[in-house]
Amino acid sequence: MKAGTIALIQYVTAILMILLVAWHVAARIPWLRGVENLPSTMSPEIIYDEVERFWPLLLLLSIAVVIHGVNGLRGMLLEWAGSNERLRFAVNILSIIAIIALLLVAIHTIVGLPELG
Amino acid sequence: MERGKFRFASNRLGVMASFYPWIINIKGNPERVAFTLHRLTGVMLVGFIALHIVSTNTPARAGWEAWVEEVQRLSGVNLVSILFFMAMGALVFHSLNGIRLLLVEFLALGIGRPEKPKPPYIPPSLKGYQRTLIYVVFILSLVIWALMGYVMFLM
Repeated sequence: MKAGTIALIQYVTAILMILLVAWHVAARIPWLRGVENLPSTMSPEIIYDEVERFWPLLLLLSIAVVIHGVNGLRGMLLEWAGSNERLRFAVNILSIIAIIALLLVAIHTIVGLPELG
Repeated sequence: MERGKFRFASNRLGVMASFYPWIINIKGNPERVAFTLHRLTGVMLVGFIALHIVSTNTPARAGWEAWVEEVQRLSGVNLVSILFFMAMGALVFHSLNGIRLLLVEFLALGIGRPEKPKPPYIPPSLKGYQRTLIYVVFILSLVIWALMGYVMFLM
């Protein structure tokens, strides 16, 4: 993939995250939920309802955050790697593995969510 | 070494240059401080994201009882809640500074118009209102972070 394309992906994921992270954080504001404190905004009922209703947004948030974060770290590590081709290859491969692994965990969180007892 | 208004602290810092805001020691230099903080908070957030994704997997992995126990760790002042609070500070700064960078880099807002170089050779980008935006980002980050602290520890 071209460096320009990767930079564009970084910008697009950043724009997506401005909206999605703001929504994700706002969902933890107790006043908006009508509850007393932060832990109450994460009760099983609220989380189950949120995942059931907004799973596509949560999945999109996970994809944007993981790609943006790992790609950002990859950029810094490539600066450190300099022109060492082996290190550059290792950084790129580890970045792809990290993205896939974290996204699999995120998908499992949504797909494997247990019913409320 | 001295070179007019600019002082190059060192050109032998290697990778540390990325995290050393005063490598080009221009008086003030909030751009470099913002750049360094953006990188530091970025590294912090990658760690936080990985932990957050794994910890929110708890209901699917270990059931709702384990989730309730995990959430309770955020109550009161303890190591987990303090680390979470620090991650929220990093998130707020990184987000607001990211919005500033999108405005400046994507839409070219606040960086002034190109002009013919003349002494004392201050780049127009350092005279535009993007610098004001940096101070707005610093102040807003502190205010929002303090509000988050109130929600986390005082409610």
